[in-house]
Amino acid sequence: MAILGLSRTVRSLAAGTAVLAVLATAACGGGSRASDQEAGGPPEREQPVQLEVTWWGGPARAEITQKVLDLYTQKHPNVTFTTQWQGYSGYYDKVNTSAAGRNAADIIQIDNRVLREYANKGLIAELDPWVGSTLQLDGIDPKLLETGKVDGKLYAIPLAANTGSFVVDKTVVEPLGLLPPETGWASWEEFGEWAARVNQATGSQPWAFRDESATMGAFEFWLRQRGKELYDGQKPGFTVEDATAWFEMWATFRDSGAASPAEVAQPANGGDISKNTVITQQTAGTFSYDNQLTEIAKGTDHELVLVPLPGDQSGAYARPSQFFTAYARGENIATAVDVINFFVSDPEAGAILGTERGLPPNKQVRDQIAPQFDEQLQYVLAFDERVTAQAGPTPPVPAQGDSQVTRLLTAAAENVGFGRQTPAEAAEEFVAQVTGELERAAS
Amino acid sequence: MADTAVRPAPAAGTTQTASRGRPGRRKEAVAGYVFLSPWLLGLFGITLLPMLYSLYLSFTDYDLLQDPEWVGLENYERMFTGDPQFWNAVVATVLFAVTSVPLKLAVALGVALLLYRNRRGVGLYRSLYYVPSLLGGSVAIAIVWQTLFGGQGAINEVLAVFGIPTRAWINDPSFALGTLVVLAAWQFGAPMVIFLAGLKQIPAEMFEAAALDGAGRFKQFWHVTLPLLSPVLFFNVVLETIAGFQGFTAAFVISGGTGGPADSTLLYTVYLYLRGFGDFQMGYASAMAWVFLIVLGIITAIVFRSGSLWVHYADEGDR
Amino acid sequence: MATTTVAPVATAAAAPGPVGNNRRWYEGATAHVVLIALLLVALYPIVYMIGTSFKAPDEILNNVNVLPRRFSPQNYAEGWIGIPGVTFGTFFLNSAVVAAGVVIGNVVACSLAAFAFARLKFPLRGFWFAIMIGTLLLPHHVLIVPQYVLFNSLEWINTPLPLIVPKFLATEAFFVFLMVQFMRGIPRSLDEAAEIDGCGPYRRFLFVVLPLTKPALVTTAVFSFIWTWNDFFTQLVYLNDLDAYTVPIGLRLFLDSSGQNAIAPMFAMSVLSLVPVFLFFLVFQRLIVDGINTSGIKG
Repeated sequence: MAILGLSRTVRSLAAGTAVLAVLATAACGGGSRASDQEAGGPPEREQPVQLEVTWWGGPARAEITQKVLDLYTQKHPNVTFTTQWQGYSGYYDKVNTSAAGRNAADIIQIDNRVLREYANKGLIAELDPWVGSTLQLDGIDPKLLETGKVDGKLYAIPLAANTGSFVVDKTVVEPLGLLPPETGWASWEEFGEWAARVNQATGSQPWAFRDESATMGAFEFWLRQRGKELYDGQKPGFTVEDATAWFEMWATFRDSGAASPAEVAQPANGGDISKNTVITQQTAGTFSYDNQLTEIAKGTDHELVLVPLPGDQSGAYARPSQFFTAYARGENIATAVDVINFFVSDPEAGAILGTERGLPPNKQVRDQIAPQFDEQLQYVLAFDERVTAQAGPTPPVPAQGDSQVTRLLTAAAENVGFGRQTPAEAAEEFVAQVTGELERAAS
Repeated sequence: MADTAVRPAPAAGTTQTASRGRPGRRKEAVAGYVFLSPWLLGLFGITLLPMLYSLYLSFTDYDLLQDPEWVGLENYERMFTGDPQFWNAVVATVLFAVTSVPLKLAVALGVALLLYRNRRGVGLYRSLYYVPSLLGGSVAIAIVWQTLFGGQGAINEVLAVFGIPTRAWINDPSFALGTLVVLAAWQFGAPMVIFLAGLKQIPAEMFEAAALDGAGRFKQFWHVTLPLLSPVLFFNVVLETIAGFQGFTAAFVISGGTGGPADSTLLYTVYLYLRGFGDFQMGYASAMAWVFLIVLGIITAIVFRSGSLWVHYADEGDR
Repeated sequence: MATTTVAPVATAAAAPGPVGNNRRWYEGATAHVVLIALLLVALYPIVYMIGTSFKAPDEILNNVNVLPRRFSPQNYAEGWIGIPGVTFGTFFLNSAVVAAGVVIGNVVACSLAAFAFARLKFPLRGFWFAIMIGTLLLPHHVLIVPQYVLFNSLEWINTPLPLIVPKFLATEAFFVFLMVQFMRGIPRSLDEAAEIDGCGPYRRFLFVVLPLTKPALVTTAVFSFIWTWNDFFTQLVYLNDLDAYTVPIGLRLFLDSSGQNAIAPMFAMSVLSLVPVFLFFLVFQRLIVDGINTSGIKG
């Protein structure tokens, strides 16, 4: 027992040094296995490859995504997949955690909220080397493809496009004779009046519309109608006056009964489809991205319709609903890229995916599969094309720190909704905090 | 620490005499450290050194993807002056601890007193009351709580019977924390068991003597029970206070991981988690952790200090 | 450092208590009424949980009674399938593995440390003991960030190792304390007898003290199991991949990912997740309660 010969102090020092050494290596970055691979190289066709894919969504999306992956394995038996999926809330926590542990999934679904951050932090691989070879992107609308570029470099492939919409429960409003016009309302005021009338008729069972003051998509639309964007570089593109007007508008809606009380709206503020208030039949309408109609319709037996957001449609745009990206430290980036290409360019894959994530980004694929779509998918497709035809210019990729801003908007909206702050107070705090966060994120 | 060099143990096999001679004592000292070595390794590797590393990190900006970047006091500055959510978390946590701990202990003591004076079925009651404590910290119970106190939950139905207006308790910032307090108080079984044990220790003669002096029930409680129970009470106060400030699971699960609505259930530990493992601002989270440690230490010290004022040890005279 | 004067529970012989006025019969009855009422309130959430787990999905939000209108045990089957990709069976297995590791780690490591504190004389013993008590009061959230960094660099994230290995280093001071208290209650004469027979400290530990410490060991094992089974925070931090998830995290994921229709299966799985804990409790009731008394603490 030689260790007994060591003095206690020396022993504890040894233990301590060992730990410190370990901690020190933690601070140093680990070597990148990806550097061994040739950027732009061909996908692996012989050796067995296992790729991990992660995305957010509901059970419906999980099912079809799995089907597409199985299809790929059919065509390329050497490639198999493991999958990770969950609801939207907490999704990025998970991705961040696994990235920190240096073992993120090989293919990661993201939205534009974190694109800039992930690109800047070297989390996702630059895809330009594969364009033209593994990545066949001609069929994709160049404007849509642009949304996946940060500073001119392609980092993410849009899986689908969607646009914001209001989902209305036809089964509730039609008997009241209050079905909204297919082209939507001419202004937000008109929308408010319509909703107030609905609420009167239903006696708040359900509430006419969900309080959407915390919804980033709606806020952005409304801002764009005023000629502003969410971001101006790493600064907010809106002022305190804008934010105040937004919160005040929803306060008016709540007072008139057009919008539900904050406590009814609150559970759905996290973005989880499972808490959608139309599904829970607490409201007759809610904001939603048009492609989510599939998932929402599954959750209720009522009939649903899509209505454009109120006012002029310059606020809309063909939004990349999700991207697929390749983990920069993956072991088989080339193969991962090939799988991504499969998702967006293969007609069979496109047929399976339908419009659940949004509209197929590849026009060729879209034209090929549209006839096979069922009624509901055709409906969503038609809606989307109608709205985006009048859309304004595509906004730039959101600034780094965008996910914080979403959280701040929710907090501010909830504070106003629950009467803890006036719209003006909340707006001021909101803008100040957003400015701070964006500054910090950029440094 | 001064280190007394420990000479190697005598060769194995030599018979030890019963006398605690120098070799025997040395061997025992060595053995002591051998037995203690896993704990020592754990203490330094898992506790102390990480604590120091955490202190270092608190002065950096670290997101685990890139190296820590020294920023001095910036994290602390931001915490105290530039982060309204931090103060929301502090308020929520203090509010939670200050309401749930006394409530929980009061119920525990009350039930213990009831049980104690009515001896039949004590064992059964005790075990049954303990079950909530057993299960209360779990995710499963948090899920049940969320449903029970939700807008369409059963609690509303029950309260409607009493004419209390219904509301979505967990979705309303004015009441969400209250549901957590109720959940905490619901787990009164554990401190109750301890109180029961303490009550049993009080010798009957004390009460007899007091009764002979003409003391009524209440006076007996105040002058006999409470003082003799004070060590146990003190113990419970310390432990429950510490636990109260560290609540996490229920707040996290019920609010869907947000601390909402409107930060009303944003307990300090939840906020720490969100910043550290959600946003990966590990430097900031470390700073928060240190502030937490210091404040908790101060509070514990205050409780201990106050203890010397009101805790009465029965055997003090013998010490 | 103040310690409590609560000694191991001795069964009370007579019935001490406030003496005086003869307890009128209705006082006892009132007390029982109160106790039972409180018990019903206290157990209501649990009974509600069990009852609701058997309700048909459309009943959940409509029927607020405890009993289901339509007995629907299929919730359990549905819930077991869990999330596409991973069944609850995996979660249970993972939890079991972690719990087993923790139990063994705690029992072994804490008994070693406790023996040193309770029975052996060595320099600075008092100092280390005070430090150990100090760590009892340390909030573990303070350590989670650097510990995470540490385990990350060892590439242990996503494995049960960060949850189990520290237990083998006696990091749960509570159990060390529990065992120390217990060991101090074992008469020294036995130790001395063994010493005279030529047993060194190692054999004294193995053959004399440890067997007599069994009740404390069992208590440690039981509490370790229960706390680990319900542990959420550390498991949340260290386990990322779906197939590494344990029951608490799997349950929460289920909560977040499922639609409205899945509340019933979720309740079913919630009930199931609590069954092991409850079983342990039933079997070891006496020990648990005595264990709390011996060293006092949290449930």
